[in-house]
Amino acid sequence: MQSKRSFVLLFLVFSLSLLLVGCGGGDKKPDAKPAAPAKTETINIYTIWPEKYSSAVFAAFTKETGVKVNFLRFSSGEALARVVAEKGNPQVDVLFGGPADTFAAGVEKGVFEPYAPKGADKIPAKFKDPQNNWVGVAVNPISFMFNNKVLKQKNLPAPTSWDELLNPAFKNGLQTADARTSGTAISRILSLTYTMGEDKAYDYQKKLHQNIQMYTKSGAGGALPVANGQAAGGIFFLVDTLEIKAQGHDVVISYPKEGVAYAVEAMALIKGAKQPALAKKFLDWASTADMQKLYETNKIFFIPTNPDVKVQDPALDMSKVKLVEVDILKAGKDRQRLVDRWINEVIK
Amino acid sequence: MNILQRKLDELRLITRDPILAATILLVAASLVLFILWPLYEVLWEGFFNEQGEFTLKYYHDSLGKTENIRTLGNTVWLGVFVSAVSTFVGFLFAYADAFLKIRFKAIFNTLAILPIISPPFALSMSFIMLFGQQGFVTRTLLGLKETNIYGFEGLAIVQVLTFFPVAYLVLAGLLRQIDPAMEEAARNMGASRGHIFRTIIFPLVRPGIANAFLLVFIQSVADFGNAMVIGGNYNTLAAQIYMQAMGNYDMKGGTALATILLSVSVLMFVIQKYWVGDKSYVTVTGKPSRERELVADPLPLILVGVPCLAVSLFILVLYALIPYGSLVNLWGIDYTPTLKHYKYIVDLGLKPILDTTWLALISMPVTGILGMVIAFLIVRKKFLGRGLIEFSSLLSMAIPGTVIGVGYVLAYNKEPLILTGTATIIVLSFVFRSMPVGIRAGIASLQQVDPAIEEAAQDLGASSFKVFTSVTIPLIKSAFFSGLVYSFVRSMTAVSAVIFLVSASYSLLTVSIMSQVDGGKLGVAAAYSTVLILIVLVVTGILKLLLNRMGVNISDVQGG
Repeated sequence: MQSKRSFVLLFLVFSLSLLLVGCGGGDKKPDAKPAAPAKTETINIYTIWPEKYSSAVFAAFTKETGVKVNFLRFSSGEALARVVAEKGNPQVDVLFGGPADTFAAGVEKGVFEPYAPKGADKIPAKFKDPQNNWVGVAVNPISFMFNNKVLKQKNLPAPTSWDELLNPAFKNGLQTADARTSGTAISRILSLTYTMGEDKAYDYQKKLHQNIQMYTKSGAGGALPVANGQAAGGIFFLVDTLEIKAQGHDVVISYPKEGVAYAVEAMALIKGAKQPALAKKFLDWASTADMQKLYETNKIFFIPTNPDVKVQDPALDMSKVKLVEVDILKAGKDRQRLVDRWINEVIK
Repeated sequence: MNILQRKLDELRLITRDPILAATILLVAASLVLFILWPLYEVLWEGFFNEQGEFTLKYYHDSLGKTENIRTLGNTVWLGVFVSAVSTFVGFLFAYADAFLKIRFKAIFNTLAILPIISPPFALSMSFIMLFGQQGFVTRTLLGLKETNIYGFEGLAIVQVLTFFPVAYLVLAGLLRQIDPAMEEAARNMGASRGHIFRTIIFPLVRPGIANAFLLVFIQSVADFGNAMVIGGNYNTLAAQIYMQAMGNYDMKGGTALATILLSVSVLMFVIQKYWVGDKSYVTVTGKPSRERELVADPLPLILVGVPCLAVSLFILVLYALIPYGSLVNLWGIDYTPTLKHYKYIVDLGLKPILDTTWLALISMPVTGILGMVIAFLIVRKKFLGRGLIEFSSLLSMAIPGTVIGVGYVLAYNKEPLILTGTATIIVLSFVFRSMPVGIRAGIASLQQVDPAIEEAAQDLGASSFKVFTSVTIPLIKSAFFSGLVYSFVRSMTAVSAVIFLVSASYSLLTVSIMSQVDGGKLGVAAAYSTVLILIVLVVTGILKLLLNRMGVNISDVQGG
């Protein structure tokens, strides 16, 4: 009897562990986890840039150093949510791309390890975290994009001020991002609060609301409708407008003379990274002019932060555009309040 | 004391049967691990700050914001409105189905199946195609340029059209069971049709109406896809959780909202299941003695039949728009036929299509077998914790997908089970999201099988395992296979939970479709949806063919 009972017990323990193993390791596909310590060195990266951009950058790094890159692509919110959730056991070594306010939020949660990459001393201080938690590798300003045909129909020039967007001719004709889901919308709101002051900026947005056809969930969501003429125009990040233009659509890109905010695209070392040395190697390399020269050759429509890199495409030349300097730390703290105001005052 | 003694006896009985005991433990463990633990994580995440100290801050913040109160109000109001209208429309259809002499009843079945086999936001897409900014009706026919269907009106109409078949199925089942003898008796005594309806039929189906109302309500408040696609500025909780957790980097605020939504859904589920669900006065009358003589009077035909026909045709047109929209150049502007959207899909890569199909196929047998085992345990075995197994396995039906999605992200992003970014976590969410229907079908058919057959096998010396595989399963195979089919279909069309779980390695069709809709590429979204519906039809068609060859007929078991 005794032996039978212990057999049962053993069986239970065995099958339970089988279940756990079965669930945990059901498929050993190449996940975020590094491959076995083989000869080739590998780092793991969460990237926020589109897959096309990311793979171009990472392939160049592998070519340069022989270090293989495993990467997963997420939106900025998802990527940060993951890094925070994995704090106890980081699955990646580097968080790459994505707006600096995402990184500022990450600093608040204590997920980054401060590190000053070797090449980063060339990068101006305004594109870097003062505590070296993150470094900016690219700049991406807010811009207007309008459909040329629609403008001609309405006999209007491409708008060059925020007030021109209030023109009743654009009633229900503009698309731009929803502040609840999109970083583009945050940069748009910051552009307004920095150029007009917060209360005036919200008065303005209430008026602008009349002309908004739709707030899209993602920042680039309205770009194609503008290209197709379903909307007259909208407010986007430059990168999204240049993508549309590169596809051959008849659109015109312009900037308000009052000024626009810009996003700094950043990267950071994850605290507790399993491959800190390789991660630092990557950050060093990604801060160099050589890396940022890849943007133009690979049609990555960002503006380099390293002043040694000269851009050829006039669309990327920011010398005539008025850029407002946003305090990223303060913006990160204000974010929730600005979104709440947007929900309660603008779209209600 | 007596009860305790009995429980102990049951326990002793089970320990004598190691396979049974092991199965019970395995099932219980898997339910705890993949349903209860994620929920526990959702509930508790919002009570602790970053440093792990207890705080009410996140709940206070969430409940204190007028915006969130408004969102909760929106959700409940939408749920009540949609459930009321859906129940009414569902009742009309059920009445037409059971009482009227009309020819187009075959359409009703199609209507009930269409929402199941298409992406959950399919009607939102067609609605945008018809009434959106570039809509066929609004722009092409009427030339309107300033229309806005994003918001309560659009969302409510789409939800009614998507969910009323649920009410229809519930009520049609009840109406068909009413014995016509009662009405005939009343008519013989001179009662008018209206009087009979008010005094006999309506009281008999009243519990069914409450049941249908609650079932639709649960689905409406949990609906994520339509809320994201056509909800516009009309916030509902299911969508707001996603925006808060993923868009605003605020997982804790998201979980506080998730807890609120979960409370609403589970409350309704408990009311539906334990208070209303079983209260039916109809079943006591037994099987109808004979066929009902169908009503052919012109008045009910015009009042009920014509609206039903109109709604049916409208819905069929809406669904037909999806494949049509995938074949025109630019919806609303240029209707030249083209295959370019399909070419675009192929150029973009078939990975999401293949991934979705594979993962749904993998989860299919797991769901089917686990579901039957659980149904078997619930109906046939007495053991400690049976009630818990039954409750938690059916509970997952009431959990809104966004809530379980957040729960999975929280629970499997850390030791001991790190699963985020893997295929495993997607398969698990498929399995535990679609299992309850298989369990329900299994329970229903097991209850019709006399346990004496199994006991006979047991008495002849067969083990639990042998009895289950050689006696039970063959007896309930049609429920088993319809569970399989349903699991595949449901996994293919899932969106609300998996949107939290997809990764660069594993992207899913429904998620791709949603991002295409947001990007204004309706043609590509329609093409993806068409491909999805085709895969569902082809795979379920093959399954049915194979099963027919094996002599199993699954058409008589409702998967919904």
